[in-house]
Formats: sequence, C-alpha cells, structure tokens
Amino acid sequence: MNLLKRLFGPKTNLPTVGSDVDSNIQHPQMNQQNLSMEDETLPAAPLPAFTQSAETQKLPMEDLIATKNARLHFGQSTDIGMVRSENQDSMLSLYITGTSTENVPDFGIFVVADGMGGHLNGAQASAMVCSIVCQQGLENIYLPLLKRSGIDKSKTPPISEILIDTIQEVNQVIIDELPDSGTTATLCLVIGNLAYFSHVGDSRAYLINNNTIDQLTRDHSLVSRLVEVGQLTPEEAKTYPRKNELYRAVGQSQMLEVDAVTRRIPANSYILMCSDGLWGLVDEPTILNIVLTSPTPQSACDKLVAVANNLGGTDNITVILIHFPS
Amino acid sequence: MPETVRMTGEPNKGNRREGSLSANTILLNRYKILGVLGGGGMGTVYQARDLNFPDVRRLVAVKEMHTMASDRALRESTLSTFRREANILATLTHPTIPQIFDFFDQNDKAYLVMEYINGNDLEQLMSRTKVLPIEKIIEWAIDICEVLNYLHNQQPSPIIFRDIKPSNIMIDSHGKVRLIDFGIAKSFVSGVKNTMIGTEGYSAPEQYKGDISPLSDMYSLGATLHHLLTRRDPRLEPPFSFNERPIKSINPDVSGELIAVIEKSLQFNPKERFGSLAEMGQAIKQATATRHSMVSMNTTNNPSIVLPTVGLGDKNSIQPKWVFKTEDEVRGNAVYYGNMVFVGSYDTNLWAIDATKGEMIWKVPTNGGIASSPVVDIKSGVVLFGSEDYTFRALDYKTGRTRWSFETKDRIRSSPIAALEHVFFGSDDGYLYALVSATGRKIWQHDAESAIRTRPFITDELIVFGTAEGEVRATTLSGEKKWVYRAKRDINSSPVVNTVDGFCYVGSHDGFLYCLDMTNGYSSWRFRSNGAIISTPVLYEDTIVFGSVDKHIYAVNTTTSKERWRVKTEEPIVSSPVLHNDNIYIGGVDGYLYCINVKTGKEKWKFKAGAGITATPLITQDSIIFGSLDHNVYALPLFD
Repeated sequence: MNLLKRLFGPKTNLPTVGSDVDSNIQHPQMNQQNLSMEDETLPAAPLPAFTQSAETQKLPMEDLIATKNARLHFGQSTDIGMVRSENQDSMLSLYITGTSTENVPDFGIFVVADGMGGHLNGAQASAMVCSIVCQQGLENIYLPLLKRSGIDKSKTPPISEILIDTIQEVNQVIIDELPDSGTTATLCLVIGNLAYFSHVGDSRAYLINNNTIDQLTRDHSLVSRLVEVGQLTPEEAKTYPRKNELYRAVGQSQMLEVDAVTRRIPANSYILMCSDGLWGLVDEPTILNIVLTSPTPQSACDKLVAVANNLGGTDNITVILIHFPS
Repeated sequence: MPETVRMTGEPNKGNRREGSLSANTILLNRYKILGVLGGGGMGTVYQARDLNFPDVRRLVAVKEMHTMASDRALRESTLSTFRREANILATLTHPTIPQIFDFFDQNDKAYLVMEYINGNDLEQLMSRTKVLPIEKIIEWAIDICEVLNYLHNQQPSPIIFRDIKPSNIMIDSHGKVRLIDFGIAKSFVSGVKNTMIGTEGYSAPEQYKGDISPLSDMYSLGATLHHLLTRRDPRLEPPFSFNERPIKSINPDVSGELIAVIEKSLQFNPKERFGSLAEMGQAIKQATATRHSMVSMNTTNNPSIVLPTVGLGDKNSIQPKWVFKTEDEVRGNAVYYGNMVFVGSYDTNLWAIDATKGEMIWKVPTNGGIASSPVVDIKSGVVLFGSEDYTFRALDYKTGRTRWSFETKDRIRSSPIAALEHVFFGSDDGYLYALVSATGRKIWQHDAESAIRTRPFITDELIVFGTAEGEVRATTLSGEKKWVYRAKRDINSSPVVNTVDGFCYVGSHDGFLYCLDMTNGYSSWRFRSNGAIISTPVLYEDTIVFGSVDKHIYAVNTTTSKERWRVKTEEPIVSSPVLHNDNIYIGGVDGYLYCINVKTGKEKWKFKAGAGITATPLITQDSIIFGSLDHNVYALPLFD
C-alpha cells in the first residue's frame, strides 16, 4: 500500500480482519459491476450467461464475491476405534462469523480432549474440558468483544492468559469432582486469522501450510521428552513400551503448567487437532496427503478416522480440521 | 485413553506407613521392634533394639521384605533382589554405607538388620528448611562423589546405586552423609541391557532405555544437587528439564563454577558428563577453591573492556577507537549517515561527529536538553530531532544549518521516525505530528490525550505509539484513531512490530511486555518482569529481547511467551538492545555495555563506561557507538 496515498488519500475505513486480503484485489470488472449494483439493475435484468447455463458459467462477479465472503470451514470426527469399549475422547467446535459496521472479528473455539480413568470418569473429564472452555471462552472473550467494552482495556487479561486460567479451572474442577481421572486438553481459539492454542497432554495441534505439516504443540509425555533429549529416535519412540506415560495432564495435580502458543494463520492453510488415537497410528505424511486431497474438511476427518481404524484402531480417535480461506 | 497413565513421579506425601510388625515384637529372640522408621523401596523399615546387649541401648534398623506376592516367580524375584541388597552391603566397607549385621527369614518374611542411622534424609531436611547452606551442600556432594566412586570401582564389576535422590541420602547426627536403600543397586556388566528401575525426576535419560552405567548415578547426583540448590522439585517438572530452570536465575548465591559442574553432570549424553565420579568430585573441589580467590575484580573508572577469561583468547584489553566528550549527559541514541555520527546531549546541543576520527564537525545549540534521538532523512539531507525547548528542528546534515523548525506546545522527548519523505513524532503536549521532512509543513496532528514519549512505529497501514497515560495507540496513516490498548501504567518503551505476522511488542512501567494483535489491538499475551520496562524490545526470529528496571535482560519466545534466557546485571536496564549478527548489544545503568549471544544468553564481553548507559548502541560497519551519562560518546571496534 502506498504510504503517500494513505497520507493524503480520502478517509477510508480499513477493512476488517476477515476481508483485508480481498479488499486489495484489483479487478477490472469490479468497478463496472459496482456501478450496476448501485443502479439496482442486476436483479431485474440478469445477465444472459446466468439464464443460459447457471451451472457452468459464472457471473462476472461471482468469484470475487465468493473470495470476499470466504469463511473458515471445519470438520470434526470421532470414533471409539476397534479395540476400546468406551470412547473417552471429547471434542467441540464453535464458529461465529458475520459482517457488520461493528467489525467484530470472526470467532471460533475448537477443543480436543482425551480422557483417562475408569468408570466413565475419563469420558466425563474430557467432556468437562469442552463445556468449561466453551463457556469461559464465550463469557470472557466473545461477549466482551460483542459488547465492544472489555477486551482492549486493562481489566481484561491477554487472551492467552484467559485460556490458561480456563484450563487451570477445569483442572481444579476435575480434581474436586472426578478423582482418579484425568484428561488431555488441546484447544484453539480463533479471532480473525489469529489462533491461540492452549495445551496439556499428548493430543496435538498441527499447522498445515504450503504442503508441509508442523506440530504446534509439544507432547507432555515421557517418550517425547526422551526424543527431545536425543535418547530415542522418532522410530524407536513408536515401539517404546512406556509410550502412554504423561508427565502432565489435566486433573492430576494442583499445580498445572499450561502451554500457550500464539500463531497468525496464513491464508489457505489448515489447523488439525487430534487425539493420540490418530497420530499414534497414522504418520504425518499420510495425514498431510489426506487433508490436501479431500474435497472438504469433514470428508478429510472421516477419512483420517477410517485410516486409523484400518491400521488397528487401538485407541479412541478424534480429529478436528479447520480450513482458513485463501 | 484408558491405558494412559500418569508418571509415578509425584513426591510421597508421607513416607511413613504401618508395617506388619507391632511394637514390642521380638524377632529371633534378639531384635525388639520399637516402631516404624519408614517405607523403603522394597518393604518397611523398623527401628529395633538389639537384646544381645542388655546393658546398653544398641539400636538397629530392621528392613522387612514383603513377600506377599502369590505369584511364585514374582516372589522369588523380589526375594532375590532383597538378598542381593544384603549381599552387596555385606561386601562393602565404607563409612558412608550402613553396616549390615544380619539377614534371616522368619514367618515367610525376610529381614535385613542394619546399622541404625540417627538423622534425617535430605528430603526431610528440605521440607523443614527454606535454604540449606551452600557450603554444606558442597561438602555432602563431595562425600557422595567419593562413595559413588568407591561403589563404581568394586571388583569384579562396578556397583551402580541407580537411585540417588534426596530421600536416599541421610545426614546423620554428626552431619555426615550416609547412603541408604541399596534395594535396587546392582552389579553392572557392561553392554547388558537392564530393566529400568529408578525414581522419576532424578533418573538419567539413558536409564529409561535400560542403559545404565556409573554415569547414570552422576546424573542423579546432579539432579539432587539441582533440587537442593533451587528447591524446584524435579518430580513436578517435565523429565530432564533442569536446563530450563537455570540455577543462577533461581539462586544467585551459587557460584558460576559450581553451576558449571552441576550442568555438566546433567548432560543428556553420558559422554558429555565427567568421566567418573572421582573427576566430578575433583571439579567440585576446584570450583569451591576458585570461588574464594575470585572475590573482587579491580575496578577503576577508566573505561576498559572486561572480558570473560574464556572465548576471546588474549584480546583482554580492547580500547575504544575514540571517545568524544559533550558537555552533559548523553541519554539518546546516536545515528549514522555519510560517515558522520549525530547525537543529542542534555547540554542542549546536537553534535555532528566524524565517525572515523571522533572529532566534532559541527554542533547546534537548542534552548533545552536533548533527550530524544535524531533521525536522518536521506532524500532531503536533513537531521531531524526534537528538544525540550518544545521545538522540532531539521538541520542540513553537512553544515548544521537550520532548514526549518516546528513549534509544539510542550517538551519533545519522543524520538522521530522518518518514512517516505515524512517525519512522525510525539510531544508532551499530547499530539502526534506528521510533517513533510523537506519543508516542515504539517500534514496532520493526532490528539492522543496525553504526552507521547515513544518513537512511533510505522507499518504499511498503521502508526503505533505509546502514551504517558499507559495507552498503546494505533492510528491510520492519515492520523485517524484505529485502536487503543490500555496498559496499567505509562509507556516509554517504543513499540516494535513484526510486520510479517502482525504482532506489536511494547513494554510498560507496569512491568509487563505486551504482545498485541496489530489488526485490533487485542492483547495476545504478556510477560512479567519485576520492574518497569522502558527499554524498547528487539526481535530476532521468534525471540524478543529487552531490558527491565529489575536489572535483568530478558529473551522471550514470541510464540509461547516463555522465557528463553535472562542475564542479571548490576543496575536497572533502560537502554534498548540492538542486534548485530547473533549478538545483542545493550547498555546498563551500571555503566556496562553488554555483548550477549542472542541464542544462548551467554555474555561474550562487556565494556565499562564512566557512568550509566541509557541509549541504544549504534552499529556501523566497523564500530559500536553509544553515549553515556558520563557525557561521553564512545566508539568501540566491532569484532565478532
């Protein structure tokens, strides 16, 4: 953007988060069509192309409008797997989008939690992560955004702190109400194209961008520490006998350290969140390939779960896939 | 995930538990049980009286092996482990190792009778004290090295203790170290894989693969010393994460030499540790010896480079290329253009200095001190700066002749930024000004409602700056308010924006470094220091570096908001860091200019000026240039 133009130019409302990429697109047909829109002639006199073959021929503005209105898409899938008698994983997806003069950014909450402990307690612990995170996220982050009051004032702590506090609250509730159980918690809060992750345990979040897949979270497991300190190779880790030992989980001790990761998400990329039932069986290149070749996030999730089951389905499998538009 | 388990690393809440023998039970007509001492690795330990000595109260410890397992093989294996402990102890004679008196079976249970040690283990000592004297810890560490070395040198094969941890180290009534619980100690045959047994938190990484050697005991001793000195329980932390809790930042009283020994013993790779416990013990002795001889260094007021003894060979006295004296404190940054250095001084002058010779080219007085930093607009060839006389000036850079000046209504302490033929700066009058660099014509002014003392940061879309009311404000390039973030206290640290991912980093007097989303000003995270942050941060990949009035220089991971490293200095840090190659240069109120490796946080060298350094150093092709409160501008040779 030309600085001089901005300095002297007319007062323009800067585009909102969701649409800033699109507003810079210069399209020769845009101005003409804008004029015709203002004339309100378009609905009354549809272009010939539209009447002839609506399915194959696009209206001149159609792509442009689609790009401008493109929003995040997500899919989610969970399955008990082939071996277990109970699905102790829980997941939650929430996404709110819109356009108005108030410029409230798009907002999303996505949670994957993998419970542990017998007598249904594990499933309840992971369910509790979903419900409390959703409740707190709406109450402490989204409602203040809507009210245009709190979030940029000093009273409101930074977003990553709110998320850490939320997981610590879940931790306390599980210790109090569900003894002998625990859960992982991997959550992603989306504001515009900014993603805030908050994480405990060995569920994972990946960023898929430019044909690469990067793990954003760090597994809190003994085996991953042994890999990190160079004692095991990733290959050896796959068959390590104590693979399931976590050194950190929600509901295990009063003092819980929660990891936070803040990432701006590039256009046309994906966030994938999953329990170890997926990543323990399906390797990263396969995950990447399925995500990039599936027509929709939902079909990718379903396929990933099916592939994990095909490889034995030794654990509950849960996956959420979020696509950020180009 | 029903099969996922928590690691059994949690400290035992209470070590004592009920044994199967009640008080006054007499074993073998000889040992009268008095009470339970504790639960060891393999059973219960009782205190008993030896009735063979009726005239004296001879106390012994009786360890009972629980052989309740119904599985015959398991029972046999636990019994043989117990017998192994007895056999090991029976062959050893060392003042640190408890003596063994007897070993017998009775009522389907096995018993080991040992010397009773009157004292406390280190875990108990830690729970009863806030700090233990470092001298004591060193003394114990040397003794433990000695006894482990003794075990490791047993013939025909070394004995590995395998479970060194605070609760297995007793301090007896004479203050001497005693090693207890040989339950899992094992003769070591090189090359044979063993099943892993040990205690989470203190065990060496290779132990989790069943690779056990004398050097695993060394790691566990290092872990124990780390716990004793930092009081951070490793069982509550991620495994093998001692290097994430540097001893120095938790317990500054521990000498660098001792820390180096502990760090070496805690290397993940056994080959990078000491070769033997004897070597480690020797290193601890040396570390404590050097500590006393290095009490004070010769401090003079003469500027000189102080180099650490390692890393830079014999370059131990580097002199400045030149020192230029102004007439008052130099608080702001210098700028460089056309082989000239421009710097303001509190003596009211803006000085132009020959960058090679350090000689004055011109000086221009104003009617107030200059606390801000100038900027050069190359296209119009002017040096632009504000003064406490309320006036913003543009001088011809070659001659110092005034091209134009612009009056605000209060002092100017904000440093300007020049971008595409315009200059932006704030004033104590509460306005942000946008002027044409060549003419001084005002394009717009933005009402920020309180004094602006930071340098604005300009992106393709926005201008960001801080105010004395604690606001971080973003305006459009035409000066319209876009968003406001309110910190708890005033902002004198200039915002820095990563234009690639759109995050803004700024410090505040409230002690926090904030990370803000440039799209809307929402706070993403904040990092707390223990003093005001006046220093303007600098970005290096995903690390942000800044100083705090709490006397530390911090490096924080911008993705996780976790500390990467910190460096302690003698006085507050208000200077801003500057990055060159992989080094950070930053001044301290203690008068030092620090050169620190940005990746490791290791100090490479430091230079002592005559008084505090508050300005950001300037890096030119061959020099590091900075002013000091001693009135001088220094040019040091730039070497890597």
